[in-house]
Amino acid sequence: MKTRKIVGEWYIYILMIVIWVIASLITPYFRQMSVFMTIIVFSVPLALVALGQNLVILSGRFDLSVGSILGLSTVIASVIMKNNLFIGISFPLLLGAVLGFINGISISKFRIDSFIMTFGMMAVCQGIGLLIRDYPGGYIPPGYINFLLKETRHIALTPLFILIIILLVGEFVLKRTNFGRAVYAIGNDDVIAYRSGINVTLIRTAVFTISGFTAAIAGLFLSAVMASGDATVGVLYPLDSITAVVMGGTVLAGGRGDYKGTIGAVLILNSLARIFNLIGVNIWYTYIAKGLLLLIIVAIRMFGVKEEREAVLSQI
Amino acid sequence: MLVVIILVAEILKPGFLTAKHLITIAHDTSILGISAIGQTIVILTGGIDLSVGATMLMADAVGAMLLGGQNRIIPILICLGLGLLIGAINGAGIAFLRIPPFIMTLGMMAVLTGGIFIFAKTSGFASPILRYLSVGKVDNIPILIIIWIFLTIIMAVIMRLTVFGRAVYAIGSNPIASYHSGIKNKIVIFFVYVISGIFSAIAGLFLLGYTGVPELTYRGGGLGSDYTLSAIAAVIIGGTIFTGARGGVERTIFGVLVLKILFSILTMMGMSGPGKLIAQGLIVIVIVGTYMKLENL
Repeated sequence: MKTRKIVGEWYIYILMIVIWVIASLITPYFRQMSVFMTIIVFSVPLALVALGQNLVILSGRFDLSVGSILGLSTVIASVIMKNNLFIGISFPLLLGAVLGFINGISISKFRIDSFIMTFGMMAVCQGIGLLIRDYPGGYIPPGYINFLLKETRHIALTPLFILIIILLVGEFVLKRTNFGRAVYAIGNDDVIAYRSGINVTLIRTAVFTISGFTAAIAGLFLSAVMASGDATVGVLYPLDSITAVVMGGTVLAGGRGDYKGTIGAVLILNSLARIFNLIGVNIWYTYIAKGLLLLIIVAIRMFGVKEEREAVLSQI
Repeated sequence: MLVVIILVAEILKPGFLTAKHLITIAHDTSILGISAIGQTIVILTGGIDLSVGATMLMADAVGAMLLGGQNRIIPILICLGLGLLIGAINGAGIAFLRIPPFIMTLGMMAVLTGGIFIFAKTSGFASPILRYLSVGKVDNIPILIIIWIFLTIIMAVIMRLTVFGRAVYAIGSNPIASYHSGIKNKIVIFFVYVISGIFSAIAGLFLLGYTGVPELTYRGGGLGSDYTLSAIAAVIIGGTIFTGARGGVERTIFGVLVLKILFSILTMMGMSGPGKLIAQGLIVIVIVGTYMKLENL
C-alpha cells in the first residue's frame, strides 16, 4: 500500500502536473516562461495568507478576517511608504500581528466564537481601510516594487524564493517543532491537549497572531504587485484561502493535514485562472471550476479515508 | 435586549420610536429575515449554509430574466425549483457523500457565482404581483412583514411540534445519540438543506420584487456573501449557537431586527459607510461576546 500512501500525500501535485500538461497541449502560450512566472507571482499572496489560515484550520477554527487585514496592510503601506520605507514595511506587519492577537485572545480567552469574532474583525478592518483610503491609490516606491518583482532573464527570482522559503518554513514549523505538534493536538481534541499539559490558550492565540501577521506580509507583497493600496482587494481571500487549505488535504475539523498540499492547491487555483484567461474563456468559469474541483477532491477523499469519514460523522 | 436598543435609539435620536419608523425598519429587514429562517434550521443541526446569498441572487436574476415584467407563474416555480435543487444537491453532498457543510456550501457558492455571471443577463423586471407583495401595504403594514412573520410562525410550529423538528434538535445536540435512538440522520439533514435552499429562493424573489430589477452584489468573497454573512450573524445574535440544538426560528426575528436597528441608528447618527462597517463589526462581537458570557457557554 506504499504507492497509495504516496498518491494520498502528493495527489494535489499530480493533479497540478496533469492540469499543466493538458493546458500546454491546448494552448501554446501556456508553454512560455512568463506565464509560469505570472502564476508564481500571483500565488505568493494567497500562499502567505493560506499559511496562517492553514495553522488556524489545523487548530480547528477558521479566520475570516485575513482578507481585510491584507487590504488594510496594502492601504497603510501605500500611505506611509512614500515617507519612510522602513516604517512603511514594519508598521503593517506589527498591526497585522496585533489584530491577529486580538482575534486570538478573544477566541481563546473570552471564548467568542471564531466565526463571529473574525467576521466582526473583517468588518472593522475593512472599515478602517476604507476610512484611510476610500478608493485604490497611493504611492509605492519603485525601488521596493523592483526589488520584489524584478525579472532576470524572465524569471522573477524573489517571488519564487519567497514561495520556496514559506513552503519550507511552514512544513518545518508544522512537522518538526513543539509548536506545530501542539497545533495538531489542539485541532484533534483541545480537552485532551489541555490535560496533557499544552497551554491551549497560548497556542490558540499564537496561531491567530501568525495568521494576522502572514496576511499583513501578503498585503505588503500585493501592494507591490498593484503599485497601490486598496482596502477591498482582499475580499476573495478568506474563502479562497480556506478553499486552498481544504483542497490541499487539510481537514476542516482540524488536526490533520499539512502545508505542502496547500501550496499545491494555491498553484492549481492560480493556474486555472491563467489558463482560462489564455484560452479566452469567460473568467467566471474559473469559479465553477474552482467550486467543482473543491467538491470533487473532498468527496473522493471522504470515500478514501475511513477515519476522516468518522470525524465528519461526529461533526454533522 | 431589543427593547434596550430601541430605547437607546430613542434617547440618542428622539422620534425613533414611532410606529411608522419601526415598520419601515422591519420592512427593510424582512428579506434578510426570510433567508435567515432557513439558515437557522441549518445551524440548529450544527451545520452552516454559505450558499444562501448566492441562491438568493440566483433566484433574483433568473426570476427577472424569465418574468420580464409580466405576471407568470411558471418562472416563479422555476426559481423555487432551482432553490430546491440547489438545496437538494447541498443536502445530498453533506448527508450522503459526507462532505463537511462548510465546504459543500462554499463550493456551491463558487459554482453559483460563476454560473450566474455567465448565463444570467442582468436585465428584466419583476412582475406586478411580486412587486405588490414586496412593497405593497395593507392598512399601512407592508405585506412583506406579514409574509415574513407568517413563514417564521409556520417554521417555528414545525420545529416545535413535528417529528422532523425534534429530530433537527436531536441531531444538533448529539448526532450519534440521535442515530442510535432511531432518527434517520441523513434524511433529516438532507431536508434541512432543501428547506434552506427554498427559503433562499423565496427571499431572492422578494428581493427582486423589492428592488424591481435584479441587483447582483459581489462583496465579501463571493456572490451575495453579504447576505449570507449577515444572515449567519443575525442567527447567532438571536441566540442560536453554532454547536447546534440551542435556539430557534422565532429567536432569529430578534437577531435580524437587532442587527438592522443598530445599523439604522448608525445611519441616523450620520456615520459614513466605513464608520458604519467598523461599528457594525464591533457591535456584533460585543453582543455575541456578552451573550455567550451570560449564557455561560
